[in-house]
Amino acid sequence: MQQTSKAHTLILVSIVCGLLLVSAFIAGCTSSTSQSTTPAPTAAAETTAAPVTNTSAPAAVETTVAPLTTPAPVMATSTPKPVYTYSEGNVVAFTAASLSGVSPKLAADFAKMYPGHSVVFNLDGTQALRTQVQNGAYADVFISASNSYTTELTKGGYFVDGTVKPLTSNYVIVILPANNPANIKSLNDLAKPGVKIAMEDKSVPAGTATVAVLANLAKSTYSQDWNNSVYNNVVTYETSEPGVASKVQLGEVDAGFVYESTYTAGSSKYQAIRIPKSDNYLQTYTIGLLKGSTSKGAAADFETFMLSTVGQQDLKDYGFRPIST
Amino acid sequence: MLEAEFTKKLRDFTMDLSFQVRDGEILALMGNNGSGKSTTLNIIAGLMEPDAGCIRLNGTTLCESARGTHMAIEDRWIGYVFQNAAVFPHLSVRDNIAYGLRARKLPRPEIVKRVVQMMELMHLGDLATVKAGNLSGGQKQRTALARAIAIRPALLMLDEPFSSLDVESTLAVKELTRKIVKEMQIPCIVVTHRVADSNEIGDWAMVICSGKKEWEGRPRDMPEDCTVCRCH
Amino acid sequence: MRPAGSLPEKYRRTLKYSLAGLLILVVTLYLALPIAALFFRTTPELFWSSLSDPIVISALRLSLTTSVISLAVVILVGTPFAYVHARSTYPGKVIVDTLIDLPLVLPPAVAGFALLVLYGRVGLLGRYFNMLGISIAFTTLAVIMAQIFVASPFYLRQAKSLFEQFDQSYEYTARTLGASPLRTFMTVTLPLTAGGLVSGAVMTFGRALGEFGATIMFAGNLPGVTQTMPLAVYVGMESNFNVGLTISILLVIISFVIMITVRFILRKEVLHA
Repeated sequence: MQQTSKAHTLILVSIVCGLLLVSAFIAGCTSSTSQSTTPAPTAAAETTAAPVTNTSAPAAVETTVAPLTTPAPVMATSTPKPVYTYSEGNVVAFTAASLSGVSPKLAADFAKMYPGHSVVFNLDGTQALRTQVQNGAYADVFISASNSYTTELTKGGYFVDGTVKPLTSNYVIVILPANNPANIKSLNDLAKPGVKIAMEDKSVPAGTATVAVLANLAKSTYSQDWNNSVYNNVVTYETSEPGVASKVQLGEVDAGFVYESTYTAGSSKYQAIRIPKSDNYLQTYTIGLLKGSTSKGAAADFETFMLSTVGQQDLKDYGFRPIST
Repeated sequence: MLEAEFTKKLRDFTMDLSFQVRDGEILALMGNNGSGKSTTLNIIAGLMEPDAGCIRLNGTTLCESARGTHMAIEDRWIGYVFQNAAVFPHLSVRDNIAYGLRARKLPRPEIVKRVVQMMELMHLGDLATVKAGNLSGGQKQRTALARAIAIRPALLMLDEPFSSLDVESTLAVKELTRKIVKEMQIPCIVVTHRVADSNEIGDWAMVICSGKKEWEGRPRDMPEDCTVCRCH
Repeated sequence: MRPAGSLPEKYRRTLKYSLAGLLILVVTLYLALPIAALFFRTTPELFWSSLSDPIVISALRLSLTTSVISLAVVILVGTPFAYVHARSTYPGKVIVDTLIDLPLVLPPAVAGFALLVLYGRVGLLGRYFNMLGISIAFTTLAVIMAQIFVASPFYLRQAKSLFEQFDQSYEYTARTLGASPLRTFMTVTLPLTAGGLVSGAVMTFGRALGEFGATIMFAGNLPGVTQTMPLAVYVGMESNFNVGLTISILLVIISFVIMITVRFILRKEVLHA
């Protein structure tokens, strides 16, 4: 009616503004962008896809940020979290990136063992996943590559009591490009001048593992000089393990330190030099259920599956080592 | 003396002109918008090239298509004042006037002398250090004129110099122009679309329409119904 | 006579102003609060002590050096390019126009990957460089190349647009007065477009300073060589929180100082224009 149309317009405008306000608030608080890092069953197998996803997390945010407001990495602290719609039978598993290769198989076998259930993997460096969980990201299960991060989350009360169990383990291995351009035949050759090595930053679990391995090797077999020369040959400290793998695969570096599982998942792309067990660093992975989960039933089933012979065999097929009981 | 004879194909029509301007004579070039007046000036100045023809100034060939000669713009010694005066807004009046002299690398004392001379001539004396962007319309025109004259050009061309001026400034610019042209005995072309202006300033008038000469003669002899109305 | 039933003028005005004020408040807060949060998360003592951390110092020095060099290259090469591009028509001009904009819409990680595939040791061009003993990937040069790639559109688009819109009668006048094309450009065109060019340069510098995705892909992450401030923040956030926080704050301060300085310089120009 004519007389109330102006009032209606004003009310409409206020409602729209209010909605904008509310949505901006929600966007600001939860900072959830719907950028999917890795939909596990599809892209996970490609080690080359992985580094793009890992580094595109901060990068994609960066394209839209005007350079003078906030530097990109600050927003990357609460790395963009994939928004999953969850149903009773669907499990959201935050999983250390080194399981990228085996995750499609795990997803298929889980669905086979528990018809009606399904699992979606969020694969990323354990340190990034930990930060996401601490900032309120939703997950049912957390698979960690590092005891220290597991302890950190346990202390923070994120896990359901009694559900944190050792899952599997992984050794460190040296991979070389398929054509071995620097002609590296032994661990000793890593110290040769001019060799380019890639390893993970110490914030990544694979990085601390590598540091420990190098220290062990220096003490037992090679000298401290060898240790120093190897570090001199490092040209990049990648922010994720797949980052190292991709640089090696491309042939841009002569050698890289990764987990054995990464090598096994893509063995046709690399050559490798094994590290003696006595000097190696056994990275133990743990699995645990998160308190914030709303599909605890399905989550528990998933944990059972991962610890079962089927799950463990899958892991073994992809180069992981069974947990020494 | 300026001898101009050229053709040029434009978007809507083809230009075909042939005319002369004697030393000390002001030619009032008239015609509708888009009839090719500014193009004529641009071709003479070297900013555009004709398809065919020849431009000669005091016997020197500026441009001859047949032989492929095209003298560079900066070598032509032509004073060209654009429609909006185009004074360099970031430079002072003094620096504006000195611009051409500095570009042509005249010795410093000579530059100073001529700038002072010009400023006196154009009554710009107390505006020497004012940034040209802050001048009024009339002051800009006088500055542009001073700037063009300072280099002692062999030909002076003004494109619609009175269009944005008030009555007083218009008179001033007209007087100054006539004085300069008569004293320096150089040919001068003034483009204008107002018959009154051509009467007051022109010794000779030429009306062009769609790039071709429509009429030429003494300004006061211009037929009433001629020019601007018929050219559409 | 007001139509019966509509709000009285007084209330309408208040509502209008309130809505406008609300919008301004929301936008301002959304931009300002995250930055403020950075400052509140640390203490002055922690901040000052972190400043002497070698990681912070080397990242700071590397970032500033590379960004300045990148900016210099973009300006020195980009300005004449933009001018020529604006003043001429040539076959394929549209394609070049599009290419200038490309880095803006390309995800930085893709840009870095492309650079790696081209200039890397086994890259399409890189292999020839490698034969000559020149390695590009994983060097500071790679950092600069990545920055130039992603940041140049900010300057090129601005410069191109400025020159295209520049009133050419100024240039024509200068030419008829006896100035060569170069002299014309330096004494007339450049001074009159300087304001816009500077703002383009500021944006370019900011983008280069904040570059992350292409850098880590093409140049890698090595403290002192390729670990720029954004990389140090990302790594620091996981392992050394204070260092990460300090560098973030430094980046904010630097950006702020540059913006304010430039605005101050340009203010005088604007007043006189």
